[in-house]
Amino acid sequence: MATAELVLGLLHSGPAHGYDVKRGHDEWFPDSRPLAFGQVYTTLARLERDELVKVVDKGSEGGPERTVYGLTQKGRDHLATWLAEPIHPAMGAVDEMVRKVVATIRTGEDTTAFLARQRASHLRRIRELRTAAGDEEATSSKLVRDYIALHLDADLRWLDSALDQITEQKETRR
Amino acid sequence: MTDLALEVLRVEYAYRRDVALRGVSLQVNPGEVVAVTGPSGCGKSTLLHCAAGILRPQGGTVHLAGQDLAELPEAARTRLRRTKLGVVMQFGQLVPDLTLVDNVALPLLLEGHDRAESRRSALSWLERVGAAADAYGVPAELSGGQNQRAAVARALVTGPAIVFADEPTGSLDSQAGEQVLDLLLNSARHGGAALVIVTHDNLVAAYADREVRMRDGVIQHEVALS
Amino acid sequence: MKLGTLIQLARPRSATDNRRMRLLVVSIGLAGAFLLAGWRIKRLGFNGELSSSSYSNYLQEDGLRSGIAIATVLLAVAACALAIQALKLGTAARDRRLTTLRLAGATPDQVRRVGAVEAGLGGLAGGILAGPLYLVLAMMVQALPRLGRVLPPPNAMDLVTWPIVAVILTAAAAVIGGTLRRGVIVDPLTATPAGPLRYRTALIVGGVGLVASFLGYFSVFRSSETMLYLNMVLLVGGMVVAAAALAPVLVDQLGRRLSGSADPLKVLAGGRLIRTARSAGRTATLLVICGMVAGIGALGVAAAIADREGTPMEQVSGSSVWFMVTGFGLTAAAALFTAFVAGAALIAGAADDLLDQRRQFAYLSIFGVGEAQLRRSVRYQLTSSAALPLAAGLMAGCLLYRFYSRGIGPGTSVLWTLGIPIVGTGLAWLVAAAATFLLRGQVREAIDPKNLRLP
Repeated sequence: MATAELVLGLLHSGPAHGYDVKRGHDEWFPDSRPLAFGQVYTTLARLERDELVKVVDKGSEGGPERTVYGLTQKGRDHLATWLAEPIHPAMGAVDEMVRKVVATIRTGEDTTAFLARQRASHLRRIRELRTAAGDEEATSSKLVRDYIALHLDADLRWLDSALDQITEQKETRR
Repeated sequence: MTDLALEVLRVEYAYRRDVALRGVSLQVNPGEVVAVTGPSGCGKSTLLHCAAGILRPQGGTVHLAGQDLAELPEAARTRLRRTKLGVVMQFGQLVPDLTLVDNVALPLLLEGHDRAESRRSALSWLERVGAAADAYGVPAELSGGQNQRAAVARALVTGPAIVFADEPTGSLDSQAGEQVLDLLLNSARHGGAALVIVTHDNLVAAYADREVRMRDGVIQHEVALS
Repeated sequence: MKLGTLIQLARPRSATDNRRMRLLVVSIGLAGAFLLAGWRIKRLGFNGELSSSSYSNYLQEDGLRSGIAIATVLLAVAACALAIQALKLGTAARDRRLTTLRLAGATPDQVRRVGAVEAGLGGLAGGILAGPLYLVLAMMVQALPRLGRVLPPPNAMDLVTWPIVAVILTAAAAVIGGTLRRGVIVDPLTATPAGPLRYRTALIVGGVGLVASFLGYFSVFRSSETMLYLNMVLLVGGMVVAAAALAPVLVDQLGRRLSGSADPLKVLAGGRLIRTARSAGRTATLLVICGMVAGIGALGVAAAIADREGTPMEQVSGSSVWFMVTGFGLTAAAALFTAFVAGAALIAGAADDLLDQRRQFAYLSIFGVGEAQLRRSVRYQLTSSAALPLAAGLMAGCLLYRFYSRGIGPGTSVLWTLGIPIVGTGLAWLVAAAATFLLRGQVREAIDPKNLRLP
């Protein structure tokens, strides 16, 4: 579900408390289910174990709520790789693409490479779906494939528009 | 020399004050299918027109089937376009005064082939594209799908090295569009022609071997799709 | 809708609109001038000889006098045909404007009213212009030597006839402008192209017209004064109706013949003739009428040359040479005028079509139908549709004269009757070729690849 990578993105602009991470997530995705505190702390602990984040400041009381976490270099690299990596298009996997795009906007990273590879990935999958049909196969399979292909098309159009807007914003800000 | 079907080098074009192309380069190999995509106004149609010799670029060069378009005299350039190039547009490209078979035969007649032979070729191509039943109808009486089929036949009747298609399915409903696109891909492949499709429709672009995406008169990215 | 609003909406907007309006006003003005001239002659009466020393011999003989009157009416009809052609010219921009009116909620009647006001404005301006044009024409005629004064000098009655003619022209223009299909989009969703030519109807109407004019022919000689007018109307009207009905059929047939050619440019020209058969038919009608006028005049002069030894006129004029020269001069003037009108109609129609179909011509240029080829194709189209109608008109005019010239003997040889149409055909070819030359700017604009950029 890429929650771990999201947390990395949330720490991109600087070290923060677990509470700030949760608040940041809910700001980034106001229409989604709010992130639970438990999940935040579990994820942070796992990231620390994997050396992607480190503890920057242990609070005076020593409890997890008071700990300040920050990205390690390894964590930054991991985040950058994740942002540039296209998702494999499948039903349900698209949430991850949306999260990537939001994270990209918020962290100010470049979109070109990602866009190119994600488009290629989607287009390949669309072609697979549309050329897979044989004449004898059941209509239902074809219908399901059509459904997926059309939704992938919709996702791709959203992606193009999103990245267009990002680029425009960057240009006007300059 | 080169055996590329098309080579466009750093081409620039502006319509009066509106700059459409800012130094665009593109290479197409024989038999390849390339999709040129991008939002409207990005210059993809202008690129197509420059590559097809319809517009003369203000900067850069275009080599069609190995020959520099700008260096050819008018008559030779016309001949080259007629024999090596096929064009399919979104709509309105058939001569409304003529029947489908006369429309398809027109490039052959202009090349100087005799009328009977041209008609025979035209009819066989119409059969291949599935429009033989309407061969003696005029465009105004037929559906968009049938007209586009005839347009595909006309583009391929001279056995070109490269076919340019500008939103070929843009004015058709999804079913007719799918059929025409299928037809275009198969016919081009059958004749060994390269195909450059300009489209804003992802479902069309998916069939290409390579995607070239444009924005604001430049190429944003190129990715292989197969 | 108030009249003021209608006028605002009807005013010409673009350069092409202005050109169209100018053509309309000038042609109505010319028609009005000729009508005024014919009326002036009518006021001299059609019976008996006039032995004035200030009138031309052509006016003195009552047979010839009615001939001149008919000629002026025919010239007026020719100018009217040009005016109708101008009205039927659409421009893409004007069509769009009218469609926009419909989409903005105007009813079909309101749009038709805009069309009527537009035509009416042209008619009014033309009617007003007719007065000065008639004066200029009359003065030019008076400046000729006595033999050439085929128009009596204008008199005070003309001040009365002028506004009457102007009002008639305005009303006629408004009525025609309000009932035209082209350019008055009644329902944008069901704007269907005009169906295929109805051959049977055309042939029937044409036949009726010919019968009517034959009736007129043969009754003219044994009629009283009042019946004379009726018979002349039958004669002239019948021919005009026949020409108008049969011309599109003729053009359609010419187009089909061209389409069968091996030359692709001829095939394209033929197809274009078939598609524009109605509009090209109007031009052809005009040419037939022009031909008739020229045919009458030419054969009449030829007859005068052939029979100069025995005519009573020689005693009256004293110099038959001048008589003939005047005849030639007048005929030449009429022929030139008709050639000019025909050329204008040809150019206007062809330019309109080039503008309308420019996207498609731009596509053709991809195949190598370049500027030179398109010009050639246009020339095939124009010469084909101009030569035969003009020849037919000349032949009809000659035959008309033969039957009509009871006083002058059978000196008009068959040679003249055949020779005139042949010469006329050559003239038509020249006019069409000249028209093609004048259209080279429009041809260049039509095949410009920038036209592909249109939505």
